[in-house]
Amino acid sequence: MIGKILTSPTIYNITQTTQAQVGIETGLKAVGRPGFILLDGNIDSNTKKYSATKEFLYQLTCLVASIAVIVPVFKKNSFAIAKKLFKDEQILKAFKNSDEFNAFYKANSKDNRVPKLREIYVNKGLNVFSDEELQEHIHLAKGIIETTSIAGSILGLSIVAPMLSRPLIRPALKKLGLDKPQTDKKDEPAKLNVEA
Amino acid sequence: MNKISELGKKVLISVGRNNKPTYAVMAVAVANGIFKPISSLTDKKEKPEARKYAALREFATEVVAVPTYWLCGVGAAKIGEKMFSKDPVKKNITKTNMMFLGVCTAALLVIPAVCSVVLAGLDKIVKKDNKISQDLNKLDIMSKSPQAEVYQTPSSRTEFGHLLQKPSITTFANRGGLKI
Repeated sequence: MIGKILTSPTIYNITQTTQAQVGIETGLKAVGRPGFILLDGNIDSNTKKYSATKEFLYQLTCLVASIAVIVPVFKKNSFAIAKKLFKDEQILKAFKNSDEFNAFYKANSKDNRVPKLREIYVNKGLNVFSDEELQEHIHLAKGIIETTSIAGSILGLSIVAPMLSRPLIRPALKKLGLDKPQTDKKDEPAKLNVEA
Repeated sequence: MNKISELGKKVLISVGRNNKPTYAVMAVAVANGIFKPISSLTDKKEKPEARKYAALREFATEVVAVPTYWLCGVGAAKIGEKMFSKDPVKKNITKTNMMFLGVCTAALLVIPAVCSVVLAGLDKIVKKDNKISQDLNKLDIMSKSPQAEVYQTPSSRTEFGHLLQKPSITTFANRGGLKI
């Protein structure tokens, strides 16, 4: 059972997709971090509830903002960005956009991709390369998509989500009846030992 | 420019060949360590001290996260490599899958556990610092200080005090000297 999971090509394909990696990791963070806050014995229950809910809502915002909005936009435009940087790359001429490449990538098995790409190159009147070079072209296209997804994840999780979460989380916490715990007690002023 | 472009191409090919699960999570953790503290510091609704504290906590979390992701990912991949060392295809798949499981374990358990220990220590340091500064600020020296008893000689103010008064038409009569 464990051996099957560890050698599963399906899991392997999931691990090779940035969007899935980041999505699963953020989902686990949304469970793990609030869980550990709730387990902390040094905090009072109100602070625990507040902090755990805040962390959960923050990770949820990250998940929605990044995985559902920013990464797909970046992924879709990855070929357009790459075409500006690598003008002469044949693989970018063979496919209009990343969706077209992804459809080709998913439709063909690992061994089938090179001959299929050769066919596409011949049909489109592009230069014909060796098998190794064609394999490298496929890696390049895949790398472009994944790298732009990583860039999108960074933008979404590190820049957009913190800005977006601020106006969303506070009202949500208030609606849930969780106010910020007051920790600043008005202590008595420290008494100076005047007798000494 | 060509060298940069060639280098960029090599990086992209490498990512395309094997998009290791550690790449994305570590890149995001590094970016979080930079941008999230900046975001906290610019939150105008919080008190300056709370802002600094939140930024410090976020920075500390990501400082813990980056090496933990790497260690868990690479460590799990090494174990996976040894599990199917005779079959090269299975070995490669297991290595990547184990790396992903390592990263997931780091995100779910290891990082929150390490962070709760590290941040508790950080809390103690910050609270200790705050207590010292609060104690210094709250020293009520003015109200509790003993009343200073000034010894007044009869000659200093009582007898000749009126001489020190500002001359005015109302006090003129009280002044000593020649009276008209």
